[in-house]
Amino acid sequence: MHIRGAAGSAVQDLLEGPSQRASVLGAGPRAIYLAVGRGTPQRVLAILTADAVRLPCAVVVNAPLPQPGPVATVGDGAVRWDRPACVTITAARYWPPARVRPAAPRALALRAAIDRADTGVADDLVRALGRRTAAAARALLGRGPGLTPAGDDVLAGFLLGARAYGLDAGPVRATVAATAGAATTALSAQLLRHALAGECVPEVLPALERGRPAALLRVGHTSGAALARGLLLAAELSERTAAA
Amino acid sequence: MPVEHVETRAGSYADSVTLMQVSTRVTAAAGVERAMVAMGTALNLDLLTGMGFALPPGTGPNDLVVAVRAEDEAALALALETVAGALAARPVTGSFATSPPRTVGAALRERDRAIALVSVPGPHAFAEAMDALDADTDVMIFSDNVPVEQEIRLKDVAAERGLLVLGPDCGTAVVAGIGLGFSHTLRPGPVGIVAASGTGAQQVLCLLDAAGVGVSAALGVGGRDLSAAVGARSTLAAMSALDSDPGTDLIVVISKPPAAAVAEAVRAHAATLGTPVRLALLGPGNPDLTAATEQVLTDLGVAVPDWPALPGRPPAGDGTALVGLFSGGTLCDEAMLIAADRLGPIASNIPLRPEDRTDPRAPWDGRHVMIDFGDDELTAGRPHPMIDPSLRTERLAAAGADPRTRVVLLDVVLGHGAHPDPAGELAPVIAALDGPAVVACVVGAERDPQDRRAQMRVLHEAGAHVFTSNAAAARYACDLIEAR
Amino acid sequence: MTHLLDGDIAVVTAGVDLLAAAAEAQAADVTRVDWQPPMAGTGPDLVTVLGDPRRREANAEALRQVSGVRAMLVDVLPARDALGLDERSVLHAGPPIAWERASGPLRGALLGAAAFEGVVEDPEDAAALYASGAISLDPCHHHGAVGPMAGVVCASMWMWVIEDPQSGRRTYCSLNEGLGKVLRYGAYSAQVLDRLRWMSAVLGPALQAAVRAHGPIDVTAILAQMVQMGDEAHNRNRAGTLMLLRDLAPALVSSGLPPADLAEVFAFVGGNDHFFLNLAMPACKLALDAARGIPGSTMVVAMCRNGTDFGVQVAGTGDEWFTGPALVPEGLYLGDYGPEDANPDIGDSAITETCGLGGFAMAAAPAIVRFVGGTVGDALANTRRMYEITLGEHPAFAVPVLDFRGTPLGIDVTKVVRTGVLPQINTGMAGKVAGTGQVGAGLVTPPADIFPKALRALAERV
Repeated sequence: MHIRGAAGSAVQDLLEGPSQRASVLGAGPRAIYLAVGRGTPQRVLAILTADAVRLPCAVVVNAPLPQPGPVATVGDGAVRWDRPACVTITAARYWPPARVRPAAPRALALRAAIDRADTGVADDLVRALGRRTAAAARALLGRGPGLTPAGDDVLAGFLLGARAYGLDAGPVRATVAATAGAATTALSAQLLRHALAGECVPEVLPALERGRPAALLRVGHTSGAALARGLLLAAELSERTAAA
Repeated sequence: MPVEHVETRAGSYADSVTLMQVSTRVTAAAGVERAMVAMGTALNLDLLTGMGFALPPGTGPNDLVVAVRAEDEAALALALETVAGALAARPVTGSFATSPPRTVGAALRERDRAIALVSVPGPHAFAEAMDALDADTDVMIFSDNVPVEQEIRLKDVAAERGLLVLGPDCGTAVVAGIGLGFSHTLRPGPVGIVAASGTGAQQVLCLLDAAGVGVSAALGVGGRDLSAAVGARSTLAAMSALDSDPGTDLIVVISKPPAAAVAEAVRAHAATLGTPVRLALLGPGNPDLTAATEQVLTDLGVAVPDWPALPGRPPAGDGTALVGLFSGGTLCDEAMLIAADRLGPIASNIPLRPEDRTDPRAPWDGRHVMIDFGDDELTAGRPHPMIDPSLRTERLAAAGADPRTRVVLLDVVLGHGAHPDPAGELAPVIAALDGPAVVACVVGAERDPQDRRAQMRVLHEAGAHVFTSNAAAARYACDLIEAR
Repeated sequence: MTHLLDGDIAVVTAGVDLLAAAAEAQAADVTRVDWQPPMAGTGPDLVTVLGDPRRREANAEALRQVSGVRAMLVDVLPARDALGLDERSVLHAGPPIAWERASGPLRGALLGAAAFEGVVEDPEDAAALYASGAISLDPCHHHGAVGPMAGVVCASMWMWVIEDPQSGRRTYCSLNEGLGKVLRYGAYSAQVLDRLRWMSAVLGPALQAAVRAHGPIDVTAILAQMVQMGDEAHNRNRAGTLMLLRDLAPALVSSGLPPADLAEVFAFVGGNDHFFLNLAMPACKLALDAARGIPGSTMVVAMCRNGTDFGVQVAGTGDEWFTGPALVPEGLYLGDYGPEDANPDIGDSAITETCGLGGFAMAAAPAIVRFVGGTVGDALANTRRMYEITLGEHPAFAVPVLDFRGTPLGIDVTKVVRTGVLPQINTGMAGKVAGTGQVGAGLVTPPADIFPKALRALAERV
């Protein structure tokens, strides 16, 4: 079976580079996550259906996902596996990731909209991140269950907001960059690296630029809400900084 | 005993490309001499009359005309069955299935983050485009023949809502790596393009592709955007959007000759942006598209490659005239600018000077001439010549057989939306010429479905001189005229 | 805000299929629009109206107004008191019409009404009075009222009084007589008139006492529940009728009416599955009237028929009627009746479709599809098709089988003209000869040409 998908430009080097072994990190009806190669940090490539949230490291296919095999390869122009059936996924095109742009913080609108949303993280940990210390970042890294722990989502939201609002994220950036690979899951570390580069799921943009997080809050169980909480923290800090 | 059947069906619309495909299928059916299935636009009625069909009085643009001449009744019956089958190809849905949406507005009710691509006949494009804007969605209007006041209204509404209107008459865009309209699959990269010219954008995109440089987006704004009336509304908005995109390092603005005041406004706006802007505004004394692309490469610190080219057969006979037959308006413009400088006035249906206007359907008077087959008056109710090259191919055969012709200059545009094998259509006609030389510019990217290299080779083997730079092709054509 | 630089993007195409296929070949997520040209001759008006800067906000406001209305049943009154009618003034369904052009069932109902009021002894004698104008005729809609089928209202009939507590606006509708040989279907025999007299003497006062004792009843809330119980509130009102009876029963029982009268009232209401229709209709009118007179809005606020003409009114064109010849419904016939017996479409009941019920809510009422001659699949397709021509979805009327999506609400004149999709109306059929009564039930649409007329009027006001 040959499936032509649309890949994020962030995985172009993986797809078009030399073939590497990949293992399945997780699979569901709308997503297959592959850990690619043995490099450090560990790269992750996601295969998603068109209705899934567009992670920057994804290949999106307009078809039901095939069942993933125990062993796959990524490179030489495709994702391939031979069992349980022969599957080849190629990129018909590459799309640039959603990227945060400079924006004015809108803490008031964000706060009103996400007031009651469950972020999956204790709020005192989030508030502590407001001090922008390495310790606060370490306390959130990898905190929570699942492939993308909620603590990481808060950090990602904060990093994206800080970039957009021109806020100095202090030691938080450096701590995430240096320790995410070891401190959390491979997929979450991958998404944090995207956040450090200003790359995100597109649902972040209306929240960040216009204070409208409705679409973001629908992402995942708590992922969207945790991202939004991180954004809100960055917005509040930058408004306070501007006022002072 | 040949039989003829002419039938008009009110209220059964199908798009011109679909009808062309139906016509092709019916014409190919056994025992059919001539056939055309088309909407009854003035241009199509002319063609039908020219094919010898007698049309019922009162046939209008909303009528579907089925005209078939077959060798006998049995062949006619078979042909009409083919028409019925081809037109009924719309998928039949079971009663529990959802039907496709009937308006852009209905489609966008269940869609976030989309672009609407509108290619309905021009008089009806406004409604669909406004649906998109009402759903806070950007729109690309591929349709031509949209009145300018409607264009202005759409662009003003878009400005209020922070949206972009690409077009009307926007032939080319690249968004999220998707080539929309007549376009190409391109690698992602740092160049953002704003183009008031579809084929101009295609030329620049394909040259960048040949040089290994990708694009963040190519936003077509429609051929009229830089007119005094429209005042660069979409150009300025698209420049600002690209300026705020962190993935765009350099903005290139491509246009046919713009109104002077508007060109000034674009320059002034460019000066306010944080991202560097390279203007490629075609006009006398300005750099051609290839030169502009080379400047972009230099800006990016990328080496300028040798643009691929293949040699062809020299002209024979006593002809003196240059005949340019273009599917791309901007490519025609660029060739005229280059040729006018060297050879003097060029007659055209899109002339550089009003006094050089010629009716593309009138008999040729032997002057240097360049025809844009994609111009509105030659596309009403018909597919664009990049999709249906038949009008141009006929003209190529005629010009090639005319002893006054010395050189025929062509553009051959590849990519999504274009004919699957344009070189294959042209090659037999080119190979059959014994007098004039043929100079062809192939505009195509590495990953285009037609395979650019193979297309170039087919034209070369038919005897054409093949270029990938339209400016280089035009200069070479002038060389051949002057060498006489 | 533009989405063109926000990462990957979906594509919606209208027009040349080749371009959709090209995008699909690049692994784009493509939705194709099945585009067709608009109704003939409407191009310039469409551009004018769609280009009207007031339109988007005006339609959003119209939708907000309609969906914001809570219709409360507050009283039951004789039309004399509710509407100020005297015995020489009679109301009818649909757009304005004079006796000369009135259809058989409307004439039959008018004759019966004159006899019921005691203006004439023999109903046939009333014809001259209507023809001369000695008894005046006026549409229900001009008096805040609606009437099913012939919709004839005269002074002695009792009316439901529906009120919007926020604005105090009121709408009215007569009490439903049941099925078969009834005045609203144009029958006017002695049996019909006797039933009307009982309704005025017993039913009306009993309901008045019950409503006053119970206090206001939320008709909108009952409608919302009905849609989840298999009613579409036009041709099926079974659940609504029973819910009303449930609400009123304690007050009725304790009203002090003689047990024999009470038993009759219960038997009459419980035995008439259409009883609630006459509450659904004024509730719909109350909601839709909230959108009247919004300049620039292209939303239809009334659809109705008088048996001869079909008329619509539009939010942005004030009280102007756009009319065309009413069509004959297609459907199933009672007994030996056939298409030749059916009168063209009649009644104000299409107000339910105008408000997102009836034919628009067919998907919620699979039980009646065979009654109007169709399949369950047709019912789903009907409702889905109506989303094409509406501005939004009713926030309270949720259709279970469509995943609780709201019913299609707010017919947009421009969308009807663009798609050629006509509003789908569920309706009863009256015999075309005065005095016949009901001959069947089925589906009908407005005549297509009234929508271009409405569009033209909207364009003239831009």
